[in-house]
Amino acid sequence: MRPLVLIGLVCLALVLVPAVQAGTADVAVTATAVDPAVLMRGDTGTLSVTVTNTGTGPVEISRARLSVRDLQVLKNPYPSVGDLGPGNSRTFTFTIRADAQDGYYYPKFELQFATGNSLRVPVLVRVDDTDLLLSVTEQPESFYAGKREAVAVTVGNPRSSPVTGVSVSLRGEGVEVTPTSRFIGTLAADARSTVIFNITPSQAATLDIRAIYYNGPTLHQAENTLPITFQTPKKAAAPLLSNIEVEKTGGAYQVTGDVINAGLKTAHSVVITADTPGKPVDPFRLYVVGALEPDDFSSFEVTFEAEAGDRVPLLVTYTDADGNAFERRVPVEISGTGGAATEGESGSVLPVAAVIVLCAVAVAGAIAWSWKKR
Amino acid sequence: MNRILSLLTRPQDFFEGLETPWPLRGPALVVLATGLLAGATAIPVTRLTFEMLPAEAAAYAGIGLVAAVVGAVIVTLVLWVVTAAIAHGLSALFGGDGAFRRTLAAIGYGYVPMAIGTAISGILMWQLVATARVEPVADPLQIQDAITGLMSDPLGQAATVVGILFLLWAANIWVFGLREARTLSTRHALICVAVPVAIQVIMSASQYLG
Repeated sequence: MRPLVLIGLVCLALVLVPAVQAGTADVAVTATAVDPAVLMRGDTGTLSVTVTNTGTGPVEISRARLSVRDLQVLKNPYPSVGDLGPGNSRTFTFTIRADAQDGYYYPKFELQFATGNSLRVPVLVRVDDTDLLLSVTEQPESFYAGKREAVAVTVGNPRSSPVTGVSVSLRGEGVEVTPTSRFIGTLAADARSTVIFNITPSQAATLDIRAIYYNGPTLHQAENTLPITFQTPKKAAAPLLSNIEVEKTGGAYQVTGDVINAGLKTAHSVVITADTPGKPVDPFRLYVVGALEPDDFSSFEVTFEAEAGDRVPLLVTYTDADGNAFERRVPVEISGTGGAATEGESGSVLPVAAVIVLCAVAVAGAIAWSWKKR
Repeated sequence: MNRILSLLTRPQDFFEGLETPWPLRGPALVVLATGLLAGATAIPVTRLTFEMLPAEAAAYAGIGLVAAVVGAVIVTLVLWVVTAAIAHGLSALFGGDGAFRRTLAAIGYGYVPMAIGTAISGILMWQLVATARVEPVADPLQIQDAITGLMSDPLGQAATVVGILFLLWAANIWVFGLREARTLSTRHALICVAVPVAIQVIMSASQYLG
């Protein structure tokens, strides 16, 4: 009996052992994943490998590890694994950091079996440090102090993987921005998104355009700038004064002339008055012209007091369609006589009148005496 | 002096007492003196004008002053002859009888009060110019406007009024002189004198009429 049992056990071992040895070959890598799909330099991501036991018996796995030369594996968390049943799958996830230049890397996933065999599979990891592109796609022809203008900013993703949590903001000293930032969200690969900001600059400045986004769990930032300089708008209203005549009436100066809008936009609420050192007086302290369309003109008249010889500027104020106020100053010579004037009183009127009266009396007397009959 | 007083206050006696032929030297000297006084009046105005012109024109100020004086004398002389010619021509319509020389002399004697008036006007103009402040003008055509503006001053207006008053005095003398020179009635003599006087008054007042 005993020999038969021994022979049976040997046969059973011969059957079983080959069955156990054939299971490691049935373990295969069925899926790999890198998140984010394309890493940027310095990014932290995860590399996942899914293995499946396609055999009919369990396979004992002693450990799983990831090794790579250029990238950094932050942790190998699988020093021991255990059995993988037939038909079962297991995913091994490793945290990696892309401390490397742009390029393609192949970290090795290694599965050590209890039988001493091992399974080694390279996994592709791509590192690409390409940043998002920020550009100003629409802006006004020129900026003007205090005038609100719209600026369009386009964010483009030239990467081959999407980025998430994209938001854009504008900042500049002396510049009021509405809204302060805009949230875009996920930006797919090769996609772009345009956002509109309204800015009101009070001074020339450099506008900082900033986009923040996430590539996986890592926060990134793209920047650009937009210089804001003030220039005379080409299509602005331009009220000009011409045909100016100055007269002195009593103690005040009266200035008349024409105002014409030589610009390409309507000048609203045009008002003309005398500026310092002139002192506006009645009856025309200021003259309201109203709206002047391009190429339209109107006459005006202002009265003011000033010292003889002063150059008095006429102040022309007007607004544009948005209510932004503008002003121009036009100097006017007020010598009063076009080139010569007497300083103050050139002698009291009384002595002059006395001279005239005396002469008249003398002449009249002489004429009367000459006709007197002897 | 007595003769001048007689001319000014008793022109009838003066002209009746003139010996024939009436001399022209005396009247010519009176007219010349009046012209020189008018030239003296033109000096301050001319100097003021050159102060308003650009610097390069100021170099010709001396020539300008001489030209102003000479011009004033010439204009006065011409005006003497023209006035006499108008009066003589008009008197011919009324049957006037007498040589043009007598008319010329009568008109010339009438310039005595005009010389006095020109002197007084000259004093007023010098005073006006002394207190005037000038500014250069870019366009020389603006000078006329500037001078016109200056004459709007009370002193300028007084100078014009004084000139017209003494012109009337001269006209009074011309009436008596023309009546005697051309053997006219008083009425006809008045008419003959009124026309050239009216022309001169209009010319003096025209600067204020714009």
